[in-house]
Amino acid sequence: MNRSKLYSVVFVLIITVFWGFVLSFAATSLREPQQANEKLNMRTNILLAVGLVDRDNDLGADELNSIYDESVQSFLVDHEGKVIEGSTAEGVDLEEELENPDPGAWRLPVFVVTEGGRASVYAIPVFGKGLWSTLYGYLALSDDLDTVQGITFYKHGETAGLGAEIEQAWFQDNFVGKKIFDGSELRSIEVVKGKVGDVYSNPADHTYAVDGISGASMTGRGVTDLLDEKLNIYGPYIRRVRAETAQGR
Amino acid sequence: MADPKVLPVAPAIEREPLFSPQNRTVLKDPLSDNNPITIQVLGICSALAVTTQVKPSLVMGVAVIFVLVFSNLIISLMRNLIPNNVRIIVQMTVVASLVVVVDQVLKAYAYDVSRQLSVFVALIITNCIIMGRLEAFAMTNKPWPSVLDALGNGLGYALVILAVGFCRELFGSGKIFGVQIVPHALYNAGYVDNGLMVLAPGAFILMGLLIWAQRRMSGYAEEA
Repeated sequence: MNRSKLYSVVFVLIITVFWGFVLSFAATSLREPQQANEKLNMRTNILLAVGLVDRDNDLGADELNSIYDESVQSFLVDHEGKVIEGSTAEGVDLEEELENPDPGAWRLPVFVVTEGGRASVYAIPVFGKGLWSTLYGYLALSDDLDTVQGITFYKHGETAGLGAEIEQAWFQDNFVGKKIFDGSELRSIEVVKGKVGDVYSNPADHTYAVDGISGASMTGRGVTDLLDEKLNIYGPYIRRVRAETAQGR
Repeated sequence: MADPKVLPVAPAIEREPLFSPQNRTVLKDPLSDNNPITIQVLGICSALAVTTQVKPSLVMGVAVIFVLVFSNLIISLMRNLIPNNVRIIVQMTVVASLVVVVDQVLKAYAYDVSRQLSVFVALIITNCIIMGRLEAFAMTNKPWPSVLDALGNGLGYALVILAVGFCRELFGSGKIFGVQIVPHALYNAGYVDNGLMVLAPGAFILMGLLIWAQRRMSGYAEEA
């Protein structure tokens, strides 16, 4: 159907404005449940990483929130590893903090589970580039700040069935019990290409490596890099606490 | 790429029954004889990308059916108002808006599903099947046949990607819906998952076999 140019312009204008309204309505009216979902997802992943809930739990939002409120505390540390007094990590985003070119201004979130007044598990947020997307997760370390208690990845845009396997239990469970320190050197953990046993013949190296995902070597390399990078950013704090506990013993 | 068969335009008969023979053809044809993937070879990119497992294939199929049905309906309702020279832009606007709404609703009320699909929801916008149906059908047909056409094509798409997803997950990881199907005893006896299946080339090969089998059955041949 051929109509005047003016008709076309007006028609497109009306369509655009109409859908613009629909979209902004959808975005604003759904923001609250979306944010609640994201917050709950974050909290659930912290609970998963520190091992307070199972992966196949069927707990509702209220239960998860109350477990979190009861047992997880959070605070911020600076880039030299000093705890910022009276701080809470709620609402602090590590990615935003690290965008600041001045490390002196960084506020790094730390989540702890305390047992009998002592911290029993520490969790830190980790993120970094995979193949297609940025991977977000939490790494939990037990009270020696050396042994991995758990790891989760909760947000990414990797290929389903390949890179997206980082979300799966089999991949994440491989990290449990691995160590990040080799003597006093912060070695971090490597996701190898293939099986650890095929890559490292020396069993001592197996403590610092996990099996890769076939077909997703690039995602694996991303995980290796992001763990190394974030652990080094938290390095001063981790070393400080390790030194303090060593003295206390 | 095959020339999409242009379906007959439903004649303007007063009070045509909802499931008249003609409407039934519109619904049934794309399931097999005029399947968007195996005959028209449309929507291949997403069919390759999401089919590593059954679950994302299923959710993707449902999302495409939803977007297709509503965009076909909306465009068909407006078909006499849309100026011809900007019709693609109008179609694109409707499709893109619907996809964003789906994405937002999933994020609010089906968070896990939305995480599972991640970027692929947004990629529905570029699925050729949707624009193809709008151009070939909704622009010239009444709303009800357009909805049936969308349902048929959406289901045709979903069937094929489910079949591919099923084979890829079964032979690639020995699982269906994430549940181990291939027994451990078989692995112990030396069986190995086919790594090719989880990669894109595996999907290409499966898709090729499927297209061959389907065309063989329906007797469809490309015009030389």
